[in-house]
Amino acid sequence: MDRAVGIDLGTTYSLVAVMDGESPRVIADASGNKLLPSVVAVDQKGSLVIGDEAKKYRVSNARQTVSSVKRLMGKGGREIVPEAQYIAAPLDVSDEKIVKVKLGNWEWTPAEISALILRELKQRAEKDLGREVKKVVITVPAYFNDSQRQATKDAGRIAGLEVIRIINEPTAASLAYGLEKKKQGLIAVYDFGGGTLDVSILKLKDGIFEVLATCGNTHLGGDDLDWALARFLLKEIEARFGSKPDQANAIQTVVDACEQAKRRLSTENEITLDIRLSDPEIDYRRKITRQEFEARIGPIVEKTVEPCLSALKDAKLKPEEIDEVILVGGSTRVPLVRATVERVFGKKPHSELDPDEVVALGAAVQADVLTGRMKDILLLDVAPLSLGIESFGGIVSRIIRRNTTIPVQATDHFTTAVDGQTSVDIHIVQGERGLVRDCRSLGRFRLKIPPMPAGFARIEVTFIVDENGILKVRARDLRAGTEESIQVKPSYGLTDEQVEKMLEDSLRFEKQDEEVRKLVEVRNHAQFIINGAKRALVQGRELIGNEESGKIEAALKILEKACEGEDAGLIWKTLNEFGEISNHLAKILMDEALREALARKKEGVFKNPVQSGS
Amino acid sequence: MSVTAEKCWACSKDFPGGHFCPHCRKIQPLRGGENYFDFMGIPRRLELDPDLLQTRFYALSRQFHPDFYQGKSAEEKKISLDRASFLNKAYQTLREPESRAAYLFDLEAIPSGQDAKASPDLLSKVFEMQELAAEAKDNGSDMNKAGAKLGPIEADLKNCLGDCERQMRVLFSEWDSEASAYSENNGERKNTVAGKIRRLINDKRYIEETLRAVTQTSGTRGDR
Repeated sequence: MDRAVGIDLGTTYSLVAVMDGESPRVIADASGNKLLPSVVAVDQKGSLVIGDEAKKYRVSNARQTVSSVKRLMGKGGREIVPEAQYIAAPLDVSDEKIVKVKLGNWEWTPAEISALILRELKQRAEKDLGREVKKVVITVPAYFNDSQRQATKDAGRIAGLEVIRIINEPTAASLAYGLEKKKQGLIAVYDFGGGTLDVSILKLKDGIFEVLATCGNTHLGGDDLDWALARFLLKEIEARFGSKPDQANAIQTVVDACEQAKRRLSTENEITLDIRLSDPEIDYRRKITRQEFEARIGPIVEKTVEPCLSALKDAKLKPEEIDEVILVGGSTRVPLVRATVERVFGKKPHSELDPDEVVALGAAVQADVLTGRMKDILLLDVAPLSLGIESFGGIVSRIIRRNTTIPVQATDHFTTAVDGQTSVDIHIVQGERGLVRDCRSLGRFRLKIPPMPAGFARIEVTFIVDENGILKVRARDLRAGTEESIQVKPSYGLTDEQVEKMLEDSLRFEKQDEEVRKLVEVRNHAQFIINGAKRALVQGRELIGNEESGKIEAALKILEKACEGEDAGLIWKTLNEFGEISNHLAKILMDEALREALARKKEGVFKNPVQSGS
Repeated sequence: MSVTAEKCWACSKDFPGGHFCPHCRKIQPLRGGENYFDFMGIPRRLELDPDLLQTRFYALSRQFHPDFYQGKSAEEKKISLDRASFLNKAYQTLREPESRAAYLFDLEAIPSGQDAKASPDLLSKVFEMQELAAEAKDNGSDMNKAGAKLGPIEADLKNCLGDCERQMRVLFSEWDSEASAYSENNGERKNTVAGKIRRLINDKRYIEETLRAVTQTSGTRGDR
């Protein structure tokens, strides 16, 4: 089987890793950067830029920049309210089923934006490995619901990748950690990423990684720490300068400064903030101590305690029974976060592996397991959230409980409430609450049945959660004896056809990208020729006379003009024409050079060899 | 188990039972009617060695898990998904004493009698506790008073829970020795023991739910 890579598609950064012999390695780009900022922007020319390049535009052109798109994955238009503040680019929330981002002249689904990031990492891996990369393991927060997992899988497909597995981030981290240390025992993974919090409890034994329980919050992350400080500073700026910075660019400047402050205050006790805003022009300077920072973020960090306790409870364990605690995610560098984890579990947490890299490393390990290269490791993960269907009166009838080991299949039986009913609506929901309205709706479908008295029908509903944690539902009418069964893939708004369409579109983008690449290449080549010709004209004017020189100069102008345009074909054509016109001059100069060289050889003088070509 | 000779789906040779075909080594689909004990190769008893159960679970997971069938045919992938799902459910059921007992009694077709009622003594304790908890929640100023009374009764209930677990262990071994006696006429005695165990399971669940509800109330108090 083809080799596969592991990708950590993060809220703030994304990484790609691959197994190098016995241990995984994160792949860096040409300049040695391992972290790719999960940012997509449109530059002044209207082209898409990704990663560090895009991050530059985040402040100067915030409305044309998308970061933290992971927070929108699998979300409907009405759902995203609490997340919207993190996205500076305008959102289209008119579609109840799926939120869209406006970027350039297009509206993008979050899956498409994520696909751009995935494609960038795919290319990075291909460059490093020197071969095509087709298969991938992508990580998601353990607490991602079905829609968010589906959206992630779709993003992979749109990027032209075969997603061989979606795995949970804390589980991946435990894999990298356990492999490194050959650990046994009970471990807790505290994963505080850019936008999500996950806590997982695992049992490690002889290569088996069994998840006992997982808990989390998909609305809590390192971004919130930045924003907590930013909100405070924005108020202070307003009080001090009498005007409120409310432009997207200004707010982004403050948030970025807060992110920097968070990083620096992880190692320093006091720093000086210097924030310059334009329109109105504000130069805001202030000292800030770690203590002040901690006062702002304290309530948010405290919110991470409850998921820890909940996971322990579901695993039926006490904090003192946990052998080791592993920290994952950049936010765990914040000392207050570390202290909080230490307080909850009563022991110092581990962070030998880089908390930014450990998830991608684990994904690479799982990629090797799935392609049959590593046979002694097995992950046994769980369904993070309970699954059920709506029954009479808006009550949830639970079919699969949270923290059940996957894959799992469970069946329940239902009947009709009304005489002569000819169809049954099956409404699939996910969540821990008892009422349907408090849970997330994953999808609904209708099963046709022959008319019968109320309570007579026997509808068998089967839930299948596969090894990716993705749900399929089948309903069957047992009484009618028909074998009619329906397979539903609960959808958050993208149909298979739409995903296919997006894949096509993205290929078109790839073609567009290819065209841009060709244009750049031909321009570079033309520039090389132009520079050479200008030098040649100086040397050769006497040899060819003014008339010919004039022709060449005119042709040069035409070529330079073509290079200013976007038409690669035209540049090639003009370049060829120029070649014909300047051919004679080139030949004369060559002969001249040859003569000189021969003369020098006779004299026994050698110049340093000059590299030809580029 | 089965009298009629089954065939392997892949090589069509006789299939004597088990998880894999002895001839072609291909994974075999569930045939229906498998029970969790036999499936996991665990003795059909209520007293179970949890380490043995876990060892079997891990070993079988290594044989069935879809991770190891990535490059195989669609048929094998589906079978592996079914078998791994069945295994996970089996492990989940057998791991907890209560669900294990309930499952085994169903398997043995033990008739459910009138044994589901909680004992009057337990009921009165639970009622008292619920009342106090409600009082503590409603009346903020008297919270300490009600809370002070709540403490001892909570401890009392926790003791009851411990009692339940101890009694259950005794009854589990009683059941196992009855079940292994292979006597024609111990059916009645088995029913009696099963009845007692079922009642204990109900009591235990009842106490646990009450305690959970009360902890939640006091938990919210603490937060405010």
